[in-house]
Amino acid sequence: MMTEPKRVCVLGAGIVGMTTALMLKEKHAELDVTVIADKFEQDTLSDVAAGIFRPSTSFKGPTPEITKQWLVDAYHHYKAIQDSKEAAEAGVQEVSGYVLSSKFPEVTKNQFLEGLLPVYRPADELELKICPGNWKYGAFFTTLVIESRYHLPWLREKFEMLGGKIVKKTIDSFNDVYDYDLVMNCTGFGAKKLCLDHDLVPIRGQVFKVKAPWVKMFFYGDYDTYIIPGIDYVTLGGCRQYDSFKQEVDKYDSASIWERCVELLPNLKSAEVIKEVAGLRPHRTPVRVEREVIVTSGGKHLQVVHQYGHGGYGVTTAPGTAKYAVKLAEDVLGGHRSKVHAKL
Amino acid sequence: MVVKVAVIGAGIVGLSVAKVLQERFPNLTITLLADKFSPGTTSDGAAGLWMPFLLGDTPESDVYAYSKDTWDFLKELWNSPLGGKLGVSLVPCLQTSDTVSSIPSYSDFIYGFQVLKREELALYKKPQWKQGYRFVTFTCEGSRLMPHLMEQFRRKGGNVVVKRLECFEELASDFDVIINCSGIGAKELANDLSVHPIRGHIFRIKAPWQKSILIDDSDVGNYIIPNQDSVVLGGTHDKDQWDTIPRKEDAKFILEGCTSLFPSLEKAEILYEWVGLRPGRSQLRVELEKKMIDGKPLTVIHNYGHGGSGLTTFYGCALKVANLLEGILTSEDYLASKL
Repeated sequence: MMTEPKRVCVLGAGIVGMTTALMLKEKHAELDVTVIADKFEQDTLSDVAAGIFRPSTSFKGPTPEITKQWLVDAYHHYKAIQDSKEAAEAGVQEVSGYVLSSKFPEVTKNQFLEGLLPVYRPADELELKICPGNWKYGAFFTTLVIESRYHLPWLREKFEMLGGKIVKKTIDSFNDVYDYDLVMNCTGFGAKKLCLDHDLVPIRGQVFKVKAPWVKMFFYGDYDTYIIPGIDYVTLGGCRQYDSFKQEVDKYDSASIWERCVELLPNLKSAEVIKEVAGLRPHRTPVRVEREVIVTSGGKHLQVVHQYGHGGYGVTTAPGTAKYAVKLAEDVLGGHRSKVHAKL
Repeated sequence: MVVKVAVIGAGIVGLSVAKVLQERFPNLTITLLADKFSPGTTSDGAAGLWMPFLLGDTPESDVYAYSKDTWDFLKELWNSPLGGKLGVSLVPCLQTSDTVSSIPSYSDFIYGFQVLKREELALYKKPQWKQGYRFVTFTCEGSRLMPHLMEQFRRKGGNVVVKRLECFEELASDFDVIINCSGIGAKELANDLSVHPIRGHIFRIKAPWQKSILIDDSDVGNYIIPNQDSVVLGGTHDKDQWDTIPRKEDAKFILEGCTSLFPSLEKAEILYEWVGLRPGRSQLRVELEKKMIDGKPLTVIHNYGHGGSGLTTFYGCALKVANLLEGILTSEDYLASKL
């Protein structure tokens, strides 16, 4: 009996979905992989993000060891791209900068980054005086910035070259994809509705994208103020509004963000504003990367690997959670039974 | 009695002197004379990295003083609303070398100066590198700062004359003081045999993803310096060579050497290739000379020989020139001679 290739669908075409789809296809050429999403590239949340590799100290996976492994895997994955010829097309840059605080020494420490990044050190007395303000604590480090504006098309091209398929479609329920052997659920904020997951909470953010080619370093100041250079534009942020569903730009947030950024880096006053955009970070504690068997309305047992709830750390951790999710996918496709069942 | 001052040279050195003198002595009549103006000067071609380099035997204390004053000026610009538009940028740097030398004195004010540990240096897999420093420094693009300085100079009443000067005597009857900022031109103008070109060959490429500087100071070493709209790849520092025609071997050395350090640069679009002559000298010369021409006293303040450190020392030198001029203007002999 001829076995047909196993059919996998990846729901979601943001950084998590596209990274997962490519990783799956690169590792298992024999699989039939289709990405299904309603939003692509510049319409995704990933596109809004500055893309700096910098997890919050509160970022949480199922265990501290797994969380750490995700970050280590993600960093090395991106660093290998940055060291290669493809860095520019893939939108991966190495960027250094400062995190400053006038009040909290903790803000400058990061248990994930120290020991992982090539440079992570306290800022010295003179460095604390670079930016206007009364900075008491600071750190300097060298990390990566992964710009989705370049990275998502790059992932797409590689995925399609390997025979991967992409379909634009809105999925309302898992019943819509009942006929796949495996579903990788990378729907980000969409998982709230798709999975009726009340633990998924939007954390609203807003940014400016400006043209300021003299800004080659990132700067973080108190209270969610950040300035992060990308390849063509600099991202100015931000805010972190828990449980806010507002997808439009808010003019009061604009005023606050602009004022805080210009105070930190006065030369931004002559930057050209390209656009303003808001987004809802799909936050969940912990990030959900696990198997589930969902019984469809037709009675089929659908194999699902969830991979969502990355909050503000989708770009930072996607290759790490994807590697972990691909292992779970291999368990499924290799016939290992899962203990978790759910009825739709 | 109006003192007439001529500034010779409209590179970063001449223009910054003109600016400082206008600010310090608002009643002075200042004329800027040059045959080359931005964007056609050596200062336009340079990457504008702040880092003392190729200053010959200039005393360490002078290098420190001139470069620190310039550092402070760049820092002030960086924190002003127009800082970026005026060409100033803050950039991290890795500086390596195949020889071990003593830690530079400017390490006490340059940002975050660190000596790389052996294990850190080894990670780069370049066995010829024996030493490495990390720090954060400024770049100042002359092509952006000079137009601003020129506009300010004109607006405040400065005169500009396009002229190629053959000798100081030509100006003796019209001016009381000459500030000689003629760069490589000083070899002929001041009859100074210790002036020599230090030939530099660079490529400018489009690589906006390159956000850090790497300088390999090894005898045969490359450098990569991002500017705002391009990245500079270098380089050469051939002494006493006057031709500015790019050589194939140098082009190969630069492109291959830089892409071996950062493979992503291979995909960058090359914008153009350029060869410039750094105005080298045995030492940087900032000093006063009193001449007598046809019975008339002429004061010349020399300000040339900046080698590879024009953008690193310009402001400090301009301040020194202003101090020397102040000394002259307030001296009794001078005031008496004007009666």
